[in-house]
Amino acid sequence: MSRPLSSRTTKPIIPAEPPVIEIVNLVKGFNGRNVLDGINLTVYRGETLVIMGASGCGKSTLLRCLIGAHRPDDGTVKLFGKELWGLAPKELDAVRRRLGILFQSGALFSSMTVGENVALPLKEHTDLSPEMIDLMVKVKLELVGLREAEHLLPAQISGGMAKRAGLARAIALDPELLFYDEPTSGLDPIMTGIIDGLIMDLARTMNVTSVVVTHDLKSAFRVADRMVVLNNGKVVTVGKPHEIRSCPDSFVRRFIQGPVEAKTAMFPKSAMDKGLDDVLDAEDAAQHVSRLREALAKAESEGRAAEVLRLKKELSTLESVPSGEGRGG
Amino acid sequence: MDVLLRFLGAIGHFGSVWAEEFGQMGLLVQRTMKSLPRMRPEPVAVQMIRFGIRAIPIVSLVNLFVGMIVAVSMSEMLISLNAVSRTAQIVAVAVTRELAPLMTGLVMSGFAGAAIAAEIATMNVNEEILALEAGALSPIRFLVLPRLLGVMAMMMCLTLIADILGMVGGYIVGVYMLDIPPLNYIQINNDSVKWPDIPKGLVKAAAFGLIITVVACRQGLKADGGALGVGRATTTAVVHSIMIIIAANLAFAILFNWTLAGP
Repeated sequence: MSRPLSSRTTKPIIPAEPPVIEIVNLVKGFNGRNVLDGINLTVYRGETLVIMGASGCGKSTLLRCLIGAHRPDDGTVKLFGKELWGLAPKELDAVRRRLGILFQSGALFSSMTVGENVALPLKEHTDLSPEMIDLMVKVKLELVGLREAEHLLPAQISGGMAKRAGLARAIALDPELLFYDEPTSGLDPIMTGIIDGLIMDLARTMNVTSVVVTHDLKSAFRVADRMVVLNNGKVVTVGKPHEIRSCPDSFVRRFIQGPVEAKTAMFPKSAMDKGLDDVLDAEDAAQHVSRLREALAKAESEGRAAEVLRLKKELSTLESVPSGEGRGG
Repeated sequence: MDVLLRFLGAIGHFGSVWAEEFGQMGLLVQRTMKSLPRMRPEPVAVQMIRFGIRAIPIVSLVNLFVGMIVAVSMSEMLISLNAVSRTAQIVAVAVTRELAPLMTGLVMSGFAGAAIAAEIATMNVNEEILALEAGALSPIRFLVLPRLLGVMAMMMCLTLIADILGMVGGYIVGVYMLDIPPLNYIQINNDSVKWPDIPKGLVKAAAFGLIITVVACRQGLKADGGALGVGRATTTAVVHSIMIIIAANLAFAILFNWTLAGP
């Protein structure tokens, strides 16, 4: 379902059309500290905007402000041209019926089965017959590869499955606007590809506007029409993926490439190609290599040949640096 | 002087915290009542089974023992007054007017209040409440209303059961330990139970049900901080509801015995 990066075509954005999301000078603070400090953003229909940034930079707070869960201290948030905090509860609900949210943990209702979770918005917000709702639930679950989990409770499924079920619930009403909070964290590479493909397909085939908060750079560059990098509650840069890649800002470069010395030492190109960067960050890798070396020394001193061979092989995979990149150690 | 000022400050802080808490609980009740027209019977029935049917054994046992305790406690004095057959009267009045609703309320604070607070707090920290709100679904209508109606209804049913079991407890002690003739005991018991005492007890039971649910839902809905927050919400819900139930019981006692009946 996922497309290779090179074959991806960026959707033309039509700024003349009124934006689906319009954020003007958004400020939100907690305990005297501004988590969001003057954010300005617009998102247009059919566009997939990826929000990136280090942990604690305000991504989740921004998402919560966008769904009306946090009241901004200053500035405005407009969805579909309507200022969220100026709306009466019924009007706010009408706006919320047009959007879907995938929470980081899935946020499934624990007392309901996966199928009932997906059916809930359909039961509450549509006049569909129970048979039609049942059919819709099956279709949505099929889309995320969870057809067999319909009758299981959230406690009986894995975290990744819960996330996919959360996505099925988020798209149950075919929303015009979808928010994804870390959609691929905790998923295996195959499922990550499927979810990325689903995000792109929804945008392409149904013109769904998407806002994706993620740390997963591979996934981010794959799905994004535009990207925003946040740091300390401020927008560092906004641009198309190729613009972000070539952005000269030192924070953006560090964020995309990781700490240069650790990255080149521990994540040579060959290892990165094998997907190791999805599993370990640079700091973890350093610790991992250190642990491997200790284990190797111990195995050598104890004369465990098979173990020595295995550890050497693993270390050589991590340390085999192509010429010109230097050898890690 | 400094100590006095600190003491007054602490009282002021305590007062403002409780005033805010009561205000928030009042708002919760108001919002819940507003969602009453959109009530659906099935979720209410589910909560009645969860917190009512399953509480019958524990409520029955507690109130059986309470009736027995009252009978045993009063027996020495009544024997000395040569009025041992009045055990039935004392047990019947004490149980129907005060003890059955109060003890049922206290038991249900632990049984239902703790469960509701823990459940809603867990949903809160797991973003399930946010997911409901973000999906244009009211947590008040989905979570609070069915629990409120279910617990209030079942508190009344459980109080009726508690009335009967409390009197049975008194009967066991009176007949088998104090040698009161069974028919005599039943006769005095029946004569002692005044008709208005039962509905008054039921009104109290409904009010206690409201207190238990509103306190528990309020604590659950404001919970944060992961597992620690869930534990804190649960403990606070039980402690607060017990305190408020006992205070409300005093208010009802004054209302029913002095104000409505006259001093």
